[in-house]
Order: sequence, then C-alpha cells, then structure tokens
Amino acid sequence: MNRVRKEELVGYLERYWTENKAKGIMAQSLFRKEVRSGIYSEYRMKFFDGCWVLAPRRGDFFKFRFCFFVHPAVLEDAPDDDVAPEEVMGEAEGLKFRMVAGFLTRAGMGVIYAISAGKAPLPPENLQWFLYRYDGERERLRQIDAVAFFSRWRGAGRPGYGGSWSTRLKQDYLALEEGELMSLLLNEAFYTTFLKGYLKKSVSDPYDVDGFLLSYSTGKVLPLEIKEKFPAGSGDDAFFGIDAGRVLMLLRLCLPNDANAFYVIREVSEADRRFIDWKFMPISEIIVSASWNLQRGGRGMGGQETQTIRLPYHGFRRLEPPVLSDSSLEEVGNLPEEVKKLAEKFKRMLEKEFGWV
Amino acid sequence: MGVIGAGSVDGLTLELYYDSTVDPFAEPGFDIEEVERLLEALKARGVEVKIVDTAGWSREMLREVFERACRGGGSSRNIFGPKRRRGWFFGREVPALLLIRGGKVIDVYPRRRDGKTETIMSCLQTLLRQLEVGA
Repeated sequence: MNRVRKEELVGYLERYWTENKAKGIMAQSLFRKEVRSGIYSEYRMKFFDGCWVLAPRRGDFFKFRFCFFVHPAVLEDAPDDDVAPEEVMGEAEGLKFRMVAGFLTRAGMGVIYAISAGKAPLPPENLQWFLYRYDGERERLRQIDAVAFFSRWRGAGRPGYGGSWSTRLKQDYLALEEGELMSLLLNEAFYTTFLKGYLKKSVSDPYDVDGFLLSYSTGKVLPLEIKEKFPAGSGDDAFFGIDAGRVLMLLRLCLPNDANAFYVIREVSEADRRFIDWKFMPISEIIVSASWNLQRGGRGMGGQETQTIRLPYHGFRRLEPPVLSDSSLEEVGNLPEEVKKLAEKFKRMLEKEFGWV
Repeated sequence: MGVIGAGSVDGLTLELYYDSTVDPFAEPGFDIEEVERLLEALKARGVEVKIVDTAGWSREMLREVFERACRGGGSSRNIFGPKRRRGWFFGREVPALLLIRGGKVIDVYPRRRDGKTETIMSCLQTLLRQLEVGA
C-alpha cells in the first residue's frame, strides 16, 4: 500500500468535504467493500456504482435532468468518439452500465459517462474531462463537446469546500484501498473542480444515487440510497430520520420503471459510531410508513436545509445477503404492486385492530 | 538559440487562437491580458499579429486549424489532448499560438521541449527579447 499516496488523496477529499459529508460517503464506501469482498460478495455482479443527478439552473429544470457517471480511474488515453460501454468499462461493468443506463433513459433522464484521461490525477484541477452520452438506440457511448453541452447551462456557480476532519475519520479513510480513494476523488473532482470550479456552472436540485442493484433474471434495476445513521428516540418510538428529497428523487427514478428502491442504513452507535448492522427498507415501505409532518434536517448537497421524514426504527430489517438474490428482488422489485400489497395488509390490520371483521 | 532562431522576425506572423468565453486550463498556463500586452509590444516592433477569438466555433472548425498547425511545424504530442483525442482542446481549453512564415506554420505554442512545457507567454517574451537584442 502506498501510504503517502493515500494521504495525498485523503488530503484532497478533506478539502472537498465537511466531516459530516465525509462520514456519509464512508458508509457508501464500506458498503461497496462488503459487496466487492465482504458479506455481500456473492452478489457483487449485481451492484453498479451510482451517479450524480444534475439539472441546469432554469425554471423547468425538472424536465432536463442528467445522470453523470464518473469513470473510477484516470485513463491513459480517451476512448474513441463512438464506443461500446464494454470497451471502456470491461465486459462485466459494461453490461451492468447498459442495464442502468436503460433504466435511467426510461425515466426520462439523459445519461452521460465522464472520463478523465491523459493527465496525472493530481492535482484534480489539472484533470482533462471527456464526456460521452449514452445513445440508448445504439446502446453506445458517443462523445459530446463538454463546453458546448454546458454552454446551455446558465448561471455562475462556485464550488463548495470542506474543512478539517477528525483524526479518526482520516484514519477510516486511510484504511480504504487506493483505488477506492481515487474513485471517490474523481467523482468529486468532476462535480467540484470541473463543473463548478472550471466551467463555473450552477445546477438545480443537485442529488446523487449511491448505487444500483441489478436482477439479471428479471431485468430489474433498483436504485440504492446508503447512509450511516443511529436511531433517534427510544423503544417503540425509535426512528431514523431520512431526507425527504431523497425519497422524492428515488420515486422520480422508480415510478416510470415500476421499480422499487432500497434505503440502506449502516447503523452505528450514537456514542462512538461503532458499527451495529446493515439494515434496509424498500421505498414501497417508506411510502406507507413515513410520517407526513416533516422535521428540520441537516444540510443537503446544495448546502440548503433539508426536511426529514421519520421512519420507524423497527420497520428496518437486517440486510441479509439473500435479500440481494434475484428471487428476493423479484418479490419486492415492483413498486406499485408492493405498495398495493402493503395497503391491503394495512386494511386487514385496521379491520382486525378495531374489530370490524 | 531563440524561439525562431537567429533573432529574425522578418515575415513572421503570429496567430493566437483562444476562446474568450472559456477559461483556459490551469496547465500549461495562459494569461490573456499578459499575452495581449506582449503581442502589442511585438506588433509595435513590426511583427504581424492576428488574434482569433474562437468563441462559438465548433470543434470541427478548431480541428481544421489544428491540422494546419500539425502539417507545418507540428504540435507537441498530447499538449492539446491525449493520443486518440489529439487537438481536442486546441484553441479553446488550451489556447494556441501559431508562428507562421511564408504561409507555413513553423511552430506551435505551448510546446514540450526536453520534458518541459514552453508556454505562449514564454515564447512571446523570448521573441521580444530577441527583437530587443537585435535592435
């Protein structure tokens, strides 16, 4: 392991992220680690990394959302201007990308794959970016002119920066593999140094998707949200607070595809962030169990205040590895059907509770 | 040895291609105000200067100029983009200075020499020094 190199990479991440943001992203990295080589590795072929979901600043921004995937390493050379995803990502990742890009295209989003090539990755300000849009008809990546593309994104944005992290958080990041750190840095550099810093573009409603679960036998794609949390309250009233905007974003992706999504929580103890368990709740259950009176939450990606939904702590289940199996995903994979099933279940419970049957 | 050799600027034309609406990459370094000042000074000493703002140009239009540059003096490898995208950033993200004599491009800046990048500004400063020494 190249400790010096890792320290350099972590130093850049510290420049970009606040402590809280870095803690949140750590949960995603740890989940990816479990998928690659840990408890979920049996299903590693079913996970695909997430993307930025960004839109130009304009009144009708919601019609023009784009999903930006960032290649996890710097390439020596840029790919040709018209390539199959497999030529860039390799066979396995290329196939996964096609499924995810098809899913997002059906949701009415533009899909763009960003690659940095030809320059050493550090400092990130020197990276040269090449953008490829996903042509769903031909299932290929076609290079676009980034400057021309973003010239239609109005407004002048500026990058936000992080601050000093605690020693413990730095150690946690240094424990990650160099490739993971590089992937995190490139993902952030695309947004902060290229889009906001270099092009100076402002965006509307910036969000990201943390990952996607794929079911090859059914063709289903389920977006993933991954967060580190500890419950608030106690006993039967214990709850997790989740960002309401995340739920709306996931619904926006899922409804056009009749797809469900998973909200995954890396539960930690409040006192010392000690890992307790991986838990999850499908968005179908979030819809039927969420409180409607929102609470004030933390800061969102754009620095704005967020509103939080309360979800019952005991409604979250352990994310056992078989939950990621095709049969399990098939069972819960259809959002409208799942919500109908839950509504029917609640109807029966209500009738039983009040003695109407 | 100077930029163009032997201090001669007879028949020399400088063509600068840059996009006023796009920030140049931090590397190799380009300051339009400084470049314009140096070009003015060279113009005053008889060098023909042409400044082309490429704002709104398509990549194809820029590509044509890049190919012309390559046919003459040739541009340094990878300065304007990696191998399969040579010239992609020419005249926009990486502003370019063409040194032309007798209608032929004899050199292109920025350029790489002996592992170092020579910028447009350093080229213009050297040219200016050559002229002052020769005066």
